[in-house]
Amino acid sequence: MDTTHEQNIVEVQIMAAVASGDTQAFERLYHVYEKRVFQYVSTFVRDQTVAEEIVVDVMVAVWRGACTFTNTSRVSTWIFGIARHKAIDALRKVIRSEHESMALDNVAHLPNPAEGPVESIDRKQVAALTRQAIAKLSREHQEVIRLAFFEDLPYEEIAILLGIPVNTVKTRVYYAKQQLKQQLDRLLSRESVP
Amino acid sequence: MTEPEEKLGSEVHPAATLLPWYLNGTLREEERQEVARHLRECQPCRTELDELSRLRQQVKAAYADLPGLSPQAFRSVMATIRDERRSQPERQRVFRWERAESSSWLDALDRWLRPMFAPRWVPVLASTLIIGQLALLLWVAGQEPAIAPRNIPTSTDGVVSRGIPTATARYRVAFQETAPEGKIRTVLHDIGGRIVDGPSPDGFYTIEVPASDQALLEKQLESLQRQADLIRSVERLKS
Repeated sequence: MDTTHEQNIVEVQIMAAVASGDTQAFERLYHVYEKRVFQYVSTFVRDQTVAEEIVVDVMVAVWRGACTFTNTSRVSTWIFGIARHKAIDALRKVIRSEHESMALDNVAHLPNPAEGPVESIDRKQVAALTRQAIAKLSREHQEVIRLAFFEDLPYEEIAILLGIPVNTVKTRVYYAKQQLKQQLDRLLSRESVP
Repeated sequence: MTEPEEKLGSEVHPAATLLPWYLNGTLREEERQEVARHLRECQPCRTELDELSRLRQQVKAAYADLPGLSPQAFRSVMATIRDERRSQPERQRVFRWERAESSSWLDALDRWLRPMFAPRWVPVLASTLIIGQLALLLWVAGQEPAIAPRNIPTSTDGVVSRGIPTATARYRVAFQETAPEGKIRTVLHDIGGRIVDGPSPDGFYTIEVPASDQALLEKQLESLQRQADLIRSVERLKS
């Protein structure tokens, strides 16, 4: 039994408490997910204020819909599913209101608090370069990299969340990883040039 | 799932596509063993695994350093929830999968009825109706003694109860062969009687009448005996 599975069992218990109206349980769930949902939503929308508003909507929807959670997927998959719908809806509204014709892929942008000059390659700088590299990927690749490498979701759950075949998940993650490595190599070689 | 399936090049080992999940520990046991077997034999996939492992750590560090939400977001969510709780304090929240497990008709009825009791005033209204019905029932029960005597047949009462009175008397009666049925019915009606047996081979009927008053019974018998054009023979049976 993997650790994420054990974590899910704990989260299912928290969800049961939330479903019964326990606000303390909800606060616990909120603190487990606020940052993760915020970052996931940020792979769709550039504006951090909008992203934050979406997270508020998502967490309220989690509270309201806790009793509809069917336990057929992980709690994280269910919450990210809500976040994904709300983020895509918000993105469509932004695109409509701005009369933009850009593809969804071009909108996503990973916030990067460390885009300044790099003096030496330490852990924090590698993290910053990785963020830059991820930000250069398509939204679809950013999304699967996050779900598989950071959220540690099983491929079946990613398939459910994204509504795509399981083999497509495997293929997409494979190519996303290749793209990420290429971007990182490019950035690292640029940083190492005196 | 309407999207077409994305394909890998034939040069990619199928096991290589499972490596991200081999690393995050979410593969099924048989898949995990299959990938482990393949890794023992495949140097390129071992290199790929090392690379993935490094990348995964970098991705985790990259996301971990990102800022989270402002405290204002938390306050906003909790304020919304508190408002909702105030407006729906009795809201019943049950997991769907728990509902699915308990699928008896009683549970179904409960699920159907429960939302009707969600508004705060409904239990008060229901209790008032129950108390009102109880009061009405007691009032009706209190009226019953005044109504009941009318159901007991008397000599002056045109209505005859079909129920059996507590005390009855019986006559053995033989009607004239020429007696019309309508007149026989009138006789029965007048004495509040009913045929409970007969006719016997010799043409006798047994007629039961209420016997609340002995003097009345005597008068009835005399009255019957006087109607010789209708009644050939009449006698009172001993009870």
